[in-house]
Amino acid sequence: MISAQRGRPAVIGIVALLGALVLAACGGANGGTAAGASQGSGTPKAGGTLVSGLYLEPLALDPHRQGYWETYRVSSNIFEGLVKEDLSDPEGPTKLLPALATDWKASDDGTTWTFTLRSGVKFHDGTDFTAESVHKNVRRVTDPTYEFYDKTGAPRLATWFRDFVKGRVVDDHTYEFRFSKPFLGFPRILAQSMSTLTIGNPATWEKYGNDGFADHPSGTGPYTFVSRTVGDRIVLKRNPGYWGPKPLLDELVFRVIPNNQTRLATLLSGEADIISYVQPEDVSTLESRGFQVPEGHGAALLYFTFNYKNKAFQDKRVRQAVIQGIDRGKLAKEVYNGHAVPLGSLLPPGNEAYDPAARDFDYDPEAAKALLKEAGYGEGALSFTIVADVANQNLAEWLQSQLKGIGVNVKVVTLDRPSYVARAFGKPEPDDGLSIDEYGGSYAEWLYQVYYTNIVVKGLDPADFPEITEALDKARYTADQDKRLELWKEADKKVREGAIAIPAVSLTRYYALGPNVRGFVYAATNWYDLTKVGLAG
Amino acid sequence: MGTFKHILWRVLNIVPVLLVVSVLTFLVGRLTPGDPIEAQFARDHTPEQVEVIRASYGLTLPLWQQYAKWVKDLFTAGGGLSIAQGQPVFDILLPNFANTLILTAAGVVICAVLGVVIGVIAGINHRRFPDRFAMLFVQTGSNLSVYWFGLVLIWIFSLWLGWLPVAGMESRNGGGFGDLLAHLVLPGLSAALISTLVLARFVRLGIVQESHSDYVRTFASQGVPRRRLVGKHIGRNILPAVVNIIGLEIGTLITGVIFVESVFNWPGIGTQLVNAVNGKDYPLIQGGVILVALCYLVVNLLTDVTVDALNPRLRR
Repeated sequence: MISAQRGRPAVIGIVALLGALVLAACGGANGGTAAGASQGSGTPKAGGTLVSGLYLEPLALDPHRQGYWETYRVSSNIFEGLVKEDLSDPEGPTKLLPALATDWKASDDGTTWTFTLRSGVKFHDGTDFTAESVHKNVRRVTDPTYEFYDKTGAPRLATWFRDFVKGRVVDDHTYEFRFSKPFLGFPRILAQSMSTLTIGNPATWEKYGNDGFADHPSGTGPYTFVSRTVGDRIVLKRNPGYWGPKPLLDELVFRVIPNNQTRLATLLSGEADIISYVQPEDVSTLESRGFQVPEGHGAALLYFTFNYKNKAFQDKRVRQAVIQGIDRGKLAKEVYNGHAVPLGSLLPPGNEAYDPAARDFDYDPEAAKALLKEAGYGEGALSFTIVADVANQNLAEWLQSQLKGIGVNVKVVTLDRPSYVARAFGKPEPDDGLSIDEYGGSYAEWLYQVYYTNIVVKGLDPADFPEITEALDKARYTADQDKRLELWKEADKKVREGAIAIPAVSLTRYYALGPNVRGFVYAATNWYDLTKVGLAG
Repeated sequence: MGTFKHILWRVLNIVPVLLVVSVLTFLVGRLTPGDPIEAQFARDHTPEQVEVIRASYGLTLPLWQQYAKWVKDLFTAGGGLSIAQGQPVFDILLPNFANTLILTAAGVVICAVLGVVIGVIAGINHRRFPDRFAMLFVQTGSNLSVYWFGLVLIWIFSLWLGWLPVAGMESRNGGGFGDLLAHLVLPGLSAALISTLVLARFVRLGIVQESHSDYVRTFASQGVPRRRLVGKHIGRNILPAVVNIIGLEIGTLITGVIFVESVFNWPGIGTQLVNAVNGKDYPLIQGGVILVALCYLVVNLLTDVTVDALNPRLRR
C-alpha cells in the first residue's frame, strides 16, 4: 500500500479533515436509527434464520478432531455428548445435565462408570443411537485394532483417556467405561468441547472414512448440517426428529467475519443477529443504539508461565518476587480498562473448584526487592525476556514497566502465533523468562492439565515438587466424591505456595445481539445454547 | 506460425517457474519456526501427544518425502487435506479463488474505465481546471490506505445511507446477479482505487506527451478534428502501453484485494491465505501460493500476447 509518509502534509490534512467530517456525520446520523428497540423483552416467535458472525474460521466439524471454542459454538448444534453443561446458568459453575445419557453412576472404587443411554434418539440420517454407537465412538479414538481408528483424533483425547482400559456394551441402552484408576471427574470432562468423547454418527465414517467425516458432519444434535463454504459460512437447519425440546429457529447461519470492525458493522446494518468477540471499546456504542451486549467470563484466565530452563527461575524466591512485583488489579485497569478481574489462582471463576478467596502472593514491591536481594539479585541484576504473541504486545510492555519497579530489566519479544508457540512451548532462548497464555475450563482437572501441558513442558521437573505431584494425583484419582473438589483446592494451594506460575486476570468477554434477538444467555462457560434463542416478531 | 511457437514456448516456460515456486513455498514453511500441530495443540497437550499428532499427519517424515507426497497430492488428492479444516485444499481454495477473480475482474473493469476517463479528461485539458482538479483527486487518493478507504465507504454507504450491504457476497435471503452486483460495488471501488489512479496518471501523461509529437502537430495543422486526433491517433499509440499497465496492475490488484477482502469480508483467497499463514496450515499455504503464482503467470502471458497483437511494431 502507498504509505502516508509519501504524501504531502497539506494533502494529508485535507484527507484527515474530510474523514473526520464523514465519520462525525455518520455517527450523528446513526445515533437514533435503532432507538426504541426493547432490551430483550417479549417472547420470541418460532421460526426464522439467525445469522451469527464468528471471529474465527472454525476447525474441522468432527467431534474427535475439533478445536477452538468458536468451532464448538457451531458444532455443539450438530453433535452432543452423553452429558452436557447447563447453559442457562450465567453464574456457574455450571451444573451437569443429562444429554444422550439419562443417568450415570460410578462404581464404589471410582474406576468404572455406567451410563444409561436415552432411548428413541436417532442420528441425523435416521439410524438409531444405541450403546453400540457409543462403543464405535470409543473405539474410533482408543482402539488401534478398529477399522476406523482415527490416528489423528486419538492423541487429542489422550489426556483424559490415558488410564482408559475398556468400554463395554452392557445392553442396548447401557454402556460402561472402565479405567485403571478412579476418575470421578469423567462426566464433566464428557461435557467439554474439545479433547473429549462427543458422539458422532458412526455410519458417516463407515461411509466416507475418517478424513471424509468433516465434509458430512452428522450427529444427534438439534440442528443438521446443510453446507459449509470455508472462508464464508456454515449453514445448519433444524433437526425435525430432535429428541429434546424443539428449537425455535428454523435455520442457523454462521458467517466467518474475522475483521473486528466489519463484524461490528454487519451487526449494526442488520446483516448479522449475533456476533462474538466484541471489542470492549465498542460496548457502550452498541448499548446506546439498542443492541444487547451480554458479558461474561467463560471459565478462562490469562496466565504467565516461567521458563524453568532459565536458571534464575529455579529459585522459588525469584518466582515469588516476580509475582509480588506485579499489581494485577492495576493490570486489569490499565491494560484492559477494567474489563477484567484480577485473580490469585489458576482456577478461574466458572471452574467447579473456583475459590474467590484463593490468593497466591499479593502485590508488594518492597518484599519482592528483598526476596530478589536474598536470592543474589541486587537492583538491576536480574534481566530476562518476556515472549508474547503479537496480540499481547501491550500487556508485555506493561509488565516490562511494572517489573522495572522491582529492579528487574525486561526485554519484550513479540512473535506471530506459530513462532510464539514454537518458542514458548518448544525451544525457548536461555534468557526467556515469562510467556503469556489464555485458556481454562469449568472442570477442576483443568489444574492438572495446565500444570502438565503449560508448566512442566517449560522445564519444570515434577521431581523437584513432590508435594504438588502428590496433591494433583490425589485429587485426580480420588474415589471419594464428597472430597473431590476439596482435594483440587488443596492441590491448587500447593501450586500457589510454590509460586509455580502467575495467574493474572479473567477477561470480560462480550457477545452482541440485535435488538430483536430473545432468549440468549451468556453461560458461565465458553459456548452458548441457541436452541432457546428466537427472534421477536 | 512464429506467433504460435512463441506462445507455446511461453506456456512451457511456466512449468519450471512453478516447480521453483513449489520448492520455495514448501521450504519457507518448513524452515521457519513453528509448525501447525504445535501451534494448535501445544497449549493443551504434552509434547509426546503433540509428536503423535504430528506423526499422524506425516510431518515427521524426511522433507523430500513430504515434498514428494505433496506434489502427488496436488495431482491426485486435491492438494492434500487442510490441517485446520480437514477438507481437501482445492475444495477450500477454488471457490474462494473464483470469488477473488470476480472481485479482481470488477476491480479491473472499474480501474480501466475510471482510469482512462480521468486520464483522458486530464490529458486533453492539460494545465486547465479539469486537469488540476483531477490531479488533486489522484494525488489525494493515492495517499489513502485501502483499508481505511474501505471502512469509510462502509460507514457512508452501508451504515449511514443504508444503500449497500457491508459484507460478503450474498444477502440474508439473497442470491441472484443483482444481489452480487450490490455486494461488489464497494469492494470493487476499494480494490480498484490505487490502480485507477496509477492508470489515470499514466494515460494523462501519454496524451500530453503524444500531443507534443511531430505527427500530431502535422495532423493538427492539416485540420484533423481534435476528437479524431485523440480517439484514433493518440489513442492507438498509447493503447499497447495502457494494456501493459493494466496487466501489471492486475498483479497489484490481486495483492491489494487481500486488504479489501478483509474489510468487506469477501470470501476470497486472501482471507484464506492469511488464516492459513496464521495457523501455519502447510497444505493450504502451499496450494494457495501455487494458485496465485499460476494466476500471475497466466495474466502475464495474456498481457504479452495482447500487447503483441495490438502493437504491429512488435510483430515479426
